[in-house]
Amino acid sequence: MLIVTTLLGTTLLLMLIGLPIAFSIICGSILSLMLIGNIPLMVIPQNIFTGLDSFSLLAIPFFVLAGSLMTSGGITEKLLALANAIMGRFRGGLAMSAVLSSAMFAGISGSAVADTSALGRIMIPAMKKSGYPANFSAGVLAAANVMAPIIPPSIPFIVVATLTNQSVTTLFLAGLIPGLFYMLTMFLMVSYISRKRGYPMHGRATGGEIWAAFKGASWALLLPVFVLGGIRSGVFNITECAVVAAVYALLVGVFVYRKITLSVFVDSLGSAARTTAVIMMIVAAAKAFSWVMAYVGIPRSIADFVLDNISDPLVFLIFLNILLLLVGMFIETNAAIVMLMPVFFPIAVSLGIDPTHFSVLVVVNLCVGLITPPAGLCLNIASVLAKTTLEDAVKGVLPFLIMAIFVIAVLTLVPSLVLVFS
Amino acid sequence: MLTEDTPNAPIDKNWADRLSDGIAVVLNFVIASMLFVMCAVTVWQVFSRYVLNDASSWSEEVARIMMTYMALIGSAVVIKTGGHVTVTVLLDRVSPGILKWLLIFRDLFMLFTLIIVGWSGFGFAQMNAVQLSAAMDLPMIYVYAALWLGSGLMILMLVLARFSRTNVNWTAQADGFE
Repeated sequence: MLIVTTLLGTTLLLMLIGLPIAFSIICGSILSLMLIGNIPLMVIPQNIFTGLDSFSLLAIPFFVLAGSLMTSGGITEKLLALANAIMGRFRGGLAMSAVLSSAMFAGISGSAVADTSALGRIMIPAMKKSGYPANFSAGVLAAANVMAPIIPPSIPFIVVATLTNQSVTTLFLAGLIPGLFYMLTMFLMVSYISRKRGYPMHGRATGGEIWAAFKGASWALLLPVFVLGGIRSGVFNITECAVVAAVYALLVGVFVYRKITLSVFVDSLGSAARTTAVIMMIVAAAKAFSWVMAYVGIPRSIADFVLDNISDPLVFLIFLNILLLLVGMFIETNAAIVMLMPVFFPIAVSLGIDPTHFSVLVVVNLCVGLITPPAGLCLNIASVLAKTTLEDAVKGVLPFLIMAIFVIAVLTLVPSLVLVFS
Repeated sequence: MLTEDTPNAPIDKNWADRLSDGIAVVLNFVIASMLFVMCAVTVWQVFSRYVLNDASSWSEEVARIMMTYMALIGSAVVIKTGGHVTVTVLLDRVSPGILKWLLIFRDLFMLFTLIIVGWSGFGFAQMNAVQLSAAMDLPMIYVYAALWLGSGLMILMLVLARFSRTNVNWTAQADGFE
């Protein structure tokens, strides 16, 4: 018990004093090992190495690179132009457009943080200028970008698939409907609030204008089609598919949009490499943490406890959802996946829950953690971009957070939404 | 801290700033090249399988080794610019005096963590020195060297950040994380 307290307590405490999450997790693991005493500390670097050294996880840098090249190629403006053309006619059009462009961006990139920062930088100032309050603007942007890791390609799904030996393809396809369903609920909430508060419309685009905007964005919109088609057909494995996506993004950036020069290319490579390093360090650190947890026997105790007390899969899922929402408030998505998946996945399987359904629930739930205070990354970034406090941004995001929890509840109760393609 | 980086009065950079900037530029180029190589060998893997009908055995291994190096070296590059994902909710709310002490503790814990990972990582590499990698027969001591090399670079960047004049606290920046 002392060791468990040390492991969780020091990790959380170190996170609070600003030690980067990855290193808090490693440090907590090291301190617990020292307390146990008889294990060589070498298991820490060994597990970090194992966490990094995986062929399926190679898809992460390649998808990040594809997203980074698309952004350097000037795709952000083109997607926004299309979203504005389609949504301008509705009340709260700019906010609707933020949701739509986030969904389109989600199909190109797998990282909510990168998307919030790329889209928020343009959308939040534009929304404030059109008379939307700062907290609403931040809330919409943060909440909409929760879609990024749910709609494929998705970094968390790659991590889940690697940990549990599932097919990334199945998980990617399983994320599609939940992602679009989430988008729909966001539209409804934006529309409701906009009508109630009388947010502006932004003019009706003609069919010709929409077509022109669509043509501008079409090369980028083809990427997700391409990714899903490629993995669905079985021609490429996920890592190869990711690298093909990156090559495609490069070719489009160089020959169609003509924005990518050699120096832009090198910058994109560097930026994608740094992003990957940050994500992979967290995954690797969580791997070491999860090793220590397993050594102390936490997964086993939890499994025994759960299986002794809960026999109904639905009751288990409800408890799990509450636990994940709490965990997601504090711990980064991928880290939480690496720590919790080995504990709860076997329990879910032995309770007869569909592995795909379970995986999607875990990912969607932890991604909602991106907009819950205090440690919701997307919310934090959006509040900074909106130049407002976190407390104020929480007010703006609250209605959307309620919708997100509603989505989790529906996905829990209706597995067929997740299992359409499997 | 998650604060908008406003153009403050320019601070004169000292030797530590210039040194860490220089190292960051070099390492940045190194990891960018590694990512390029990873892409190139994976494209080659696709090509050799579908066009030459001869699955290459070494490409996956090259890409995986590059990934470990890229992750650990990349982690060193982003330290000073605050690229690592950090919880700032407490740091943003304490008085400057307390903040200073919290950050000193944070740096000490970071240093402790990196020394342990680097030191035991070095031991781990020595222990497996004679093992060979599966496809290319590369001695694993070079592969596992990423652990102590990366930790060493992170320690270097951490210490340089403390000696620097700009961004001493290396806390996260406005536009979020890398």
